[in-house]
Amino acid sequence: MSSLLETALNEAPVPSAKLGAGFWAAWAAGMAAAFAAFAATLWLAYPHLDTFAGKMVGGAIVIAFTLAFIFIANIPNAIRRKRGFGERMREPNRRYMWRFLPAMFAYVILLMAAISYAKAAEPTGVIAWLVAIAPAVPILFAIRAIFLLPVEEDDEYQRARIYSSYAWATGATLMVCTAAGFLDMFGVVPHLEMWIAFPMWAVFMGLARCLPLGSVK
Amino acid sequence: MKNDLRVLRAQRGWSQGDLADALGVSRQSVNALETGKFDPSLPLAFRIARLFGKRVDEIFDDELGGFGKAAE
Repeated sequence: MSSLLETALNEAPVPSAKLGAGFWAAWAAGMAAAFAAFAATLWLAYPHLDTFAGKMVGGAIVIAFTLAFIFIANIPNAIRRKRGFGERMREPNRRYMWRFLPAMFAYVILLMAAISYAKAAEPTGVIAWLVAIAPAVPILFAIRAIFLLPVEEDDEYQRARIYSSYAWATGATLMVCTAAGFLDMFGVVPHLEMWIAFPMWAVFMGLARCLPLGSVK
Repeated sequence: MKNDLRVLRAQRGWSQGDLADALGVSRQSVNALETGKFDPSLPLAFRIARLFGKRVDEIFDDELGGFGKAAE
């Protein structure tokens, strides 16, 4: 990927914030290739996921490809920055990333470890509780990172956008969970696991970020 | 709220990024302010006014009759 970056840099005749169609085609192809490699690797790893080592390797694969996707996604802005146009990641966002990503990576590893330990050792009592709660703990740290972001954000426009997306996400999640909870109670839908609430909130938050700020006035 | 930010910035030959740096805000903020998508807080409005050597009501217009303009 770094050779692609260098080629794109060397071929730029005049510094410009705009990247050519050729670059975007190569970038999209790179992203598609990474997705294909991810899918193929998971497909190959799938039969081996029932062992402890297999689960650990599976977790490492997910983490490695996540990092690769982040790297590829950053290439356009890295090139713009080299040409003096792009913007550096702002400090609150950088702190958020350094809190959120390690927490999610720890979650992947702990989840894999907890599942294989629970299957192999069938723990009871306090140990069973500890094993069960272990994957949730890093998620709590990820949620902490999410709510520290607007607290530390020193740009009032960005802060307003973040808080409005959180408000949208919270409202939508409470609505869906309330409706789903009653549907579940009356036995007309399959049981929904409660941990769904956080990923659901995150998806709603991501969608809400696409809305213009004025739409929550 | 309507404002003259884009004109004032252009008169000085600044980019949105230049203005953002001068105000200590993100470039997206400057864009949102210029397009009227976002109204600044009172402290930021005063920072903007001070930067351009104008009064807040000379830059921002709440379109409610402009009694601030009567003094001009």
